[in-house]
Amino acid sequence: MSASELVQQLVNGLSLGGTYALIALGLAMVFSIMGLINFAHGDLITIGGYVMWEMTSRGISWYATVPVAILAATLASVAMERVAFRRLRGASVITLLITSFAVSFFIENAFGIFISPRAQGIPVPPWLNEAVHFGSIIVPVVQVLTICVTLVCLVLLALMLNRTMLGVSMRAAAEDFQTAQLVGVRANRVVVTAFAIGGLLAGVASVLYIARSGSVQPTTGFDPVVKAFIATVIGGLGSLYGAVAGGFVLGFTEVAFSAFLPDTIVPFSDAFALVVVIGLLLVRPQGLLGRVSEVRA
Amino acid sequence: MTAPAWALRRLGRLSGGVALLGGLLLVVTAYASAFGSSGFQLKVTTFLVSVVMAVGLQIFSGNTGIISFGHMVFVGSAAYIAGLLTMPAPLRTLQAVHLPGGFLQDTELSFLPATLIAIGVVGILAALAAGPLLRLPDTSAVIGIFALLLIAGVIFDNWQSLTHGAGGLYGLPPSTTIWNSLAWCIVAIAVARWFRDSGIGLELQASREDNLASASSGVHVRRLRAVAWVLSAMVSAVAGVLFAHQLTAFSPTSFTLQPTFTVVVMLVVGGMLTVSGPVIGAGLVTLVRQGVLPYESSSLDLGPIHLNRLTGLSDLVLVVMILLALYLRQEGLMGRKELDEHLAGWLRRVRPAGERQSAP
Repeated sequence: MSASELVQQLVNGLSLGGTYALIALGLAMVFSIMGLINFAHGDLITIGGYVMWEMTSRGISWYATVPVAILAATLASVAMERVAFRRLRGASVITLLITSFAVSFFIENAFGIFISPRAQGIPVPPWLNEAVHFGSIIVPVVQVLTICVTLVCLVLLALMLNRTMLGVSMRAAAEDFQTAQLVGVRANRVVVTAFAIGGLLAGVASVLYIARSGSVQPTTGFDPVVKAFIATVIGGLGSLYGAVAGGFVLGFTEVAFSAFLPDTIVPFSDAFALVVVIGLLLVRPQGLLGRVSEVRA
Repeated sequence: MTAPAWALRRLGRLSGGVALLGGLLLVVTAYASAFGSSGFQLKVTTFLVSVVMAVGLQIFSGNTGIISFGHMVFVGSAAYIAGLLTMPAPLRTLQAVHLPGGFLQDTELSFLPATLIAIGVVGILAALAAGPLLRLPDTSAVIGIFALLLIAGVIFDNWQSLTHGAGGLYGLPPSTTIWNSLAWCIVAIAVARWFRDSGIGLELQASREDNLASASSGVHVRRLRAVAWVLSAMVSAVAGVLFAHQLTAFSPTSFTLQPTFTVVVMLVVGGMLTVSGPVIGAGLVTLVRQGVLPYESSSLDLGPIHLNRLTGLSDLVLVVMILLALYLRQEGLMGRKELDEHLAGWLRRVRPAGERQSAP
């Protein structure tokens, strides 16, 4: 493998891992505050996609659909909290998880019934599918864009969490929700903000993800949310930095497996990546950046 | 109370509970077998198989409190293992599947030995998976088990020489009948009831309620979870074998998240803390689905919106059922008491009242 191929694979891993990280961050934020592993988080990507499809099929320019799709994902996330999860606040992790599965199935089936179970094409501007040449290295524009956008999002989020009052109270709530409430952090505000930020990041991920696939269907969000699930476990459930790290670890593992495995095993590469992840957890059950807080049974 | 007396009482309660649930299922089965059309019998058989699936899941999730989205792995593995063993040899060659160890390629097993082998192999597979998965803290374990479902999905889809890939297997003998399904159902219920009241079961339930407290009073939570996991996988394996030999053909899509969710709905709606829960839940889900299915192919006019087909309507109804259960009755219909215990309670409440009335 030449140096340029290696760089290309690196870019592949960065952009894939970045997408996972964006989605995993939303999951980790909500989990750290209210113990919900939100499987329906992936459906925010689907919702963003359908908004883009609805608008582009009415002849509206793709550029105009981007902010609307992101806004829609954000609002959908907040609505989800209000309608489905608020009445279960304080319920067990398992109850919350099953609820989120149900919500996800509801959204999927509703799209299937009211729109169509089949994939709908979304035209993207042609420049997105072109490639940029850095000397002998050829990189698709979408991937460069994904990496840049991910970095910007991560930096903005870090600033928000560290420099603003709301951000600090969110970190406090993530650390210990009850104590944070005792010192005056407003529960609803923190939870809604977590869902809103998660929705916003999912919306951004949705635009990037759909720009690459060019279509949307009711199950679009399934694959990314599953990967983000696994990313959060790798990084340590509830740790925000862990979610980002886990996203990149998973992205690189997948790219490495599909690049270096012999052709006959390539169909199994997803399974291999998962096995590696489980192997990693054998060594560190609390994840890369997680802390041991639960009982070691 | 002395130890033998206690054991005898436990046996009495166990057989009472199994007899009640088994009796209910027997009535349904006998009715279908005597008066039902073949289509109706097929539906009852499907229901009985789903009872085995839900009860199998209850053994692990009910006692440990860890919901498993991975039990379809065991259902699926058993379906493939038993299916490959009972399939006529020429069909194996036709589907280009090759059994390991040449002599197996030409051997055709009958239903029961194939079932027992499938149960054994799935038990071993589950024991292997238990090592890494059940080491994880509760919440991560749920996701790890879910990852197992995805791994198995990839393997079912791609291991051409054993699973015939996405096309699945066909040509299995139709060995599943309404009566042997009922028999396995009762076995599954008896195993689950016995396990729930066994020492291991009780210790696991203690860890479910308070992990820290039970671990510090000497419950070896991880080891006991592994026991429940393997036992529950073996019961799920029975469901897989029955499922495969009822349909005689199946594909990997039968063992994905969608069917997993259906079983989870049965368990949660009925209540996972009891064995009666999944049985009642499976009954309810089957009834509601059968009620809704005919509408799936109908069209609907809602003023400006016209819907041609309502594909997925029955899944939507399942979602509503489980959400209602989660919002209104988190422990499910049965709650913490088995059906026979509820019944005994009602009888006790009714009888004194009746005696008081008759007294002057």
